[in-house]
Amino acid sequence: MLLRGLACLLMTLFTSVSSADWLDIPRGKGEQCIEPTEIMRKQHMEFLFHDRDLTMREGNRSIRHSLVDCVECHAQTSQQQEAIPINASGQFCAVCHEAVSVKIDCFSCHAAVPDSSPGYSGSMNAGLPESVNALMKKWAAMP
Amino acid sequence: MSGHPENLEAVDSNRRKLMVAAAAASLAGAGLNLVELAMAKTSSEAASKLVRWGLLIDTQKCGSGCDACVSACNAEHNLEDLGRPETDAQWIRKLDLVDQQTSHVDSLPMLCQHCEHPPCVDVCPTGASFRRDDGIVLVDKHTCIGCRYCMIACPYKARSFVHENLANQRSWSPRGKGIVEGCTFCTHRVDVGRTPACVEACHVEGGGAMTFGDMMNPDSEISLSLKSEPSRQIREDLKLNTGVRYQNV
Repeated sequence: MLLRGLACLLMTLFTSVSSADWLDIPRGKGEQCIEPTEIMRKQHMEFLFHDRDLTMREGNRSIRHSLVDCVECHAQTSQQQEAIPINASGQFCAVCHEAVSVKIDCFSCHAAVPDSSPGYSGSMNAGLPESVNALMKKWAAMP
Repeated sequence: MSGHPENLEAVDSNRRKLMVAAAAASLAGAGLNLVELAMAKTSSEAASKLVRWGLLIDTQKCGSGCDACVSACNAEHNLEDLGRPETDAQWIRKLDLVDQQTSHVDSLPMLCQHCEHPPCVDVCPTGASFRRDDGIVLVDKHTCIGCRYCMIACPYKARSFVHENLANQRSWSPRGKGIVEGCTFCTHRVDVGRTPACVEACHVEGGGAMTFGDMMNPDSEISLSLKSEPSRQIREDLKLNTGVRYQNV
């Protein structure tokens, strides 16, 4: 709680002092994130906290804010066409989190790159990331 | 004035009976509709209390040397072999039960039994071990503190503890150091209308020994089999009402 409060405070200070334009944040795929950038910058952790319980405790899989979808759009690909972990230094999550010294431990458990394996059985695609276009359509249809 | 209250009472009592009958009829109707809805759960709906997922395993069809279910589970959730069998994660394992007198061998897979009264949930100090409305017993890994009480409480030895940092987790199966984990009945598949990876593998590569389905739906394949053929719960003396049942043991 203390850490979160501190993080929010820092984030607020940070965004009020500057628009974060001086940071080199890698661009995501697609035109626009699911929420306006200003809102995502301050509230992404709250969206994730809320929706994780919907999925895990209740089994609702059509949530609007999903960490898997964040990774799908925002993880970069190296010149060797390998996915770079989204929390690696200089990558999407790390740029801001390093600048404000807020540690994230999402990716000690969660995948930091889009799925490269279909799991068991090649026919399986449940859980596999959808294409960015499919994601945009899905979000547009949601309330 | 004297007879009037009695008459009123008689009317009231009749009306009450009528209302009870009407309420029962509408409840029955609503119940049926809800069951149909529950069957057709889409990925955007919450798990329903009108469904209870269960697994029936026919040990006669389960080959002693076959481990299709185990390798499918490992592939699905990326449970890597770290070369330390005592601590490596194991969500499903094969057991061979040998009859001491006759040497007859029964082979069966052992996994989380998704009990109705799960001991792991009883002992969890943080509420991380929980039972979903549709009967699937899970660990809320955000809340688990890694105390491992649940591992001690589980009579089936169904849970594992992650002892070291992991990499290459599947997006649908987050796993990490310091957290207890176990079979999830592949909720990510079940929630979108598929069967768990072990069941699929058993039918594709194994002996077709596993039947997965809704035990609350009287017309499901698993309910019909449970009704017509004898089956057992392992350690049925504990009265946990397990979601995994075995035949021919």
